Amino acid sequence: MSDIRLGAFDTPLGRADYPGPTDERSVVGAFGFWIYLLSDGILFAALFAAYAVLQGATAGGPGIAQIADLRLVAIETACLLTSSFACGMGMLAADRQRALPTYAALGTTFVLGAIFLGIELSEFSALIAAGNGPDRSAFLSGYFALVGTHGLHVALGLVWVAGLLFRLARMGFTRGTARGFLLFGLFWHLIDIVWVVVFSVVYLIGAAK
Amino acid sequence: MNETQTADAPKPDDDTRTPGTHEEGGHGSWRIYVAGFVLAALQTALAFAVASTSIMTHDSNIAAIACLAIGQVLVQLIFFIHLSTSPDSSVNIAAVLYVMLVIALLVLGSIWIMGHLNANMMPVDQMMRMQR
Repeated sequence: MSDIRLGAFDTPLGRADYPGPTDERSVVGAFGFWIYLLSDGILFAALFAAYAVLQGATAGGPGIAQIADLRLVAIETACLLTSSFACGMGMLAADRQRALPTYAALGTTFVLGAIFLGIELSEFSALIAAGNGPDRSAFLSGYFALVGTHGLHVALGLVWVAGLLFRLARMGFTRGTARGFLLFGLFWHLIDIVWVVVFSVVYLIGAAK
Repeated sequence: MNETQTADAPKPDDDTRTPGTHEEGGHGSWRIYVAGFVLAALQTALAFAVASTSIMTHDSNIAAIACLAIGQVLVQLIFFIHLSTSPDSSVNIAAVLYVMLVIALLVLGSIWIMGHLNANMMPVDQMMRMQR
């Protein structure tokens, strides 16, 4: 693999020259993507700041305690945490070039992520149907912007992991798929970390007794 | 991932690799993910339990939830993203610390300034009366 031209990117790798699990699981080799993820953190920080400032501005509409269903949020949280864990398992399986465990783990990641997104979208549509859409109050604008942006990231992640699995099916384990898995793993773990802050700050602190 | 590493190039010495991500036998790394998952699940369950009980006061509930959230973010950064304090990832750590500073300035600064602005605002009904 002394040839690092683009054309060599998708040639199958032997076990010997496959970049091993050591480099795969560290963030050292993906510094540029790491910087993007951190800038995404700043994007979410701006949305959190807006939400925190607007939290009390309900304009006579419902507050967070009225619209938060902690049971559903707990299911969403369990889905996303398990999905993040399954994604880590998928990274390990991909490191070892074991196809079936990779499909199983990342398939689990996809399904749980899709369940999360489904619950979130049904909550959003119920809110909008009840007249509590983002146009109801400044608080609801901040709520939909923050939680919706997170949901958008989850949706993009689902498209990404589906693409990676199709690529794996077509090309097998290549340097390109290895890189894709590494970057997707970082992305998906960070989405789960953002959700930890969302469910703590928005739902739990909002509905705490 | 090292893009330029060639097949016949010598493998990097163990001491140039990221400690903590280099496992013998390959089972240790599974354990790291499982440990992170268990810790994160416990912190999540505890946070939900705190939010739905009224044993403590409202303020201490909020403080507990905030601490559990910060703890879980750290757990996931360390166990899932494998952020470590090794020399190899010092640039990653520096970037994380800088972003945390920016996030703290952005969030705390916004809450502080907007809180004061809100407190100094004239009530809407009073303003309406003056405009007549």
